[in-house]
Amino acid sequence: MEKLKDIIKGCLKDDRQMQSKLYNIFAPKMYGLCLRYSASVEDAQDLLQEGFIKVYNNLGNFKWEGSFEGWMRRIFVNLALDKYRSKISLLSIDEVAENQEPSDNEINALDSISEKEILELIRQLPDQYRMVFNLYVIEGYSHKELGEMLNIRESTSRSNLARAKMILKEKVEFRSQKIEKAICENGKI
Amino acid sequence: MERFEKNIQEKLRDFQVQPPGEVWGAIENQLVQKQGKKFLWLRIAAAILLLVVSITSLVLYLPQVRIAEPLAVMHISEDDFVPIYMVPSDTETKVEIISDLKEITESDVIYESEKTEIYAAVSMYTDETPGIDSDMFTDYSNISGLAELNPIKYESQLTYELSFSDGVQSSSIIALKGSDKDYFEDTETKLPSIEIIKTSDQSQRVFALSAYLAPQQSFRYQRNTTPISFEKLESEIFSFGAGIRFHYKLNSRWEVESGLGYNMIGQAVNGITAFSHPSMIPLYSSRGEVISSHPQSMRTSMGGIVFKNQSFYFADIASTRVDALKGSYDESNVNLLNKTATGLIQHFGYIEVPLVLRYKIIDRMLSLSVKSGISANFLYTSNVYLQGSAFSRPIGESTGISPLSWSGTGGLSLEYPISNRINIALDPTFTMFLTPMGQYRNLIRETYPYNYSLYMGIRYNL
Repeated sequence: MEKLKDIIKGCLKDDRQMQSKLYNIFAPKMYGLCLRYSASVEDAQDLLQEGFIKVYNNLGNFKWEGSFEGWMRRIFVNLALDKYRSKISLLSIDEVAENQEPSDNEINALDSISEKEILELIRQLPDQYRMVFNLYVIEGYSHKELGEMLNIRESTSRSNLARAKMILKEKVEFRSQKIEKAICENGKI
Repeated sequence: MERFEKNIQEKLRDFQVQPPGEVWGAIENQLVQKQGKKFLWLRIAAAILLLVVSITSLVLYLPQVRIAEPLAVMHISEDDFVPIYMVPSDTETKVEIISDLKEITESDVIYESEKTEIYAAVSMYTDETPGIDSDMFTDYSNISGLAELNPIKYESQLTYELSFSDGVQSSSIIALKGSDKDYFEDTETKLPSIEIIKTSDQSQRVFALSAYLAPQQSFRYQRNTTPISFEKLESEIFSFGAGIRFHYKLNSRWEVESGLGYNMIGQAVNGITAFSHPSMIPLYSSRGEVISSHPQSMRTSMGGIVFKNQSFYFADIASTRVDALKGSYDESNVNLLNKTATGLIQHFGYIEVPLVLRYKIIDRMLSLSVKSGISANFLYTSNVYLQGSAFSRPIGESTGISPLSWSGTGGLSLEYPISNRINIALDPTFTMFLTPMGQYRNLIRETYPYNYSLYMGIRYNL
């Protein structure tokens, strides 16, 4: 198997075979990322397409310092941010309490849920909540950084995150109760 | 970080999903198009360079057929009286040595102009025949091979250009109005309007610049039928071409030209009904969300159409040319849409670098030439418009078109001088692609665009 460096060099020469190899290596991971940032599967596919075009066009700027995947990931996240900014709508964000600790039940419910299901729940979040949740929880940005990236106040970022978590927890809990009920009705307990 | 957050982060940070195969197809298509555009100007520059090198080589290595400056130009009208004019026979009057001129025979010596009924004869001294004087003119054989007198246009008047053959040093010109060989019996009346333009030992290559506008009818020819028969579903359109040309005269008859043009071709796609939402807002998916890209695409004989304006939805009433991603839009909403217009126009803008050869058949005030050549056509735009009765709206673009196509051209050219340096021209021309316009043969099966055009040009002789 070719080394990543050779593949990238091939891509820089517009070698279609190497571009395809690079895509095959990273597309599943980046598609997972795109699905998290998009409201629909179609949007995620668009983001994946645009992201890879941007990656191919900017490969010359990769300095070979740090991980290539990390560099690629930043491109996709920034693109998702750009897309979000371009269709930003002024949501009425309710200030909610930030430090509602989840109950043990909620945490246990989360353990039993699959990645795909969590992804689906995240996708159902309003745009701004989804952005804040993804950038803070998955990418690890601080609220201060989020405020600058999304052009919102730091407190709004905190509030959005709390709200997003609350919605997610409610949905996780609801799903868990639904499953329990179904099991009981089927007499398996 | 809370446990809840940490749990989600662990689950999703490196979560992988295999994307559907068509995403790579779309990326590849975009890469191909981008590559085509990336090298567009490089290819144009290469084509121009190739043409310049070709023309230069042609000029340098072809047999040196040169055009002599006229030694004498006679303005002769029907009212002129039996003119005879003697060019001074001094030894200083040197003329251009032209080795490729046709030999003058007895029958060539007398030229008849249809309009002015002028008869002319030429005689001169040569190295080989020192001392020959005008009395020798009665013997036609003595002047054979020495000169040629050609009708040319000069300042909008029919005049004659005298060119001398090898070895000629000085000359005499006699121009007569009459119909018989008894002209030497006439008196030596000087032709009043004769003027010596140049007694020259220099030759000149003739360059010219021209600009044109060409209204045209454009359509395409399909060599093989496609799974969908487009024949009755597409029709020709009216469009324009324009550009500048640089001309180089190889000799009095042959001319080569090149330049840069912009040529708009295309076709009308019929039998399509377009609908729009009453308030022109985008279509919604079945979940009520705005869809991020237009769910439809379309096939034509001139490539696929990718729709980009989401205010419109299209239905093919005559065939199955419109494809849609199933479930990507709310089909029940379609009934709510307003029918807005029928018909799409595919426009293809090509930057054209031609190489054309012309041959002058008739060289009078109004000259007639035949022309033929080839062109490199670089795709610049491929927009698709929705054509309504009162509006035209861009709705997407054609895809799968080759970034470079070659075309052949042929036609006639009528030229008329409106001043010493400026001519106007009218060229009925037929142009057809020699290579299929599609990038992939399986996408557009051997579609060859063609057009009938009328070049309307103005030419400045440098």
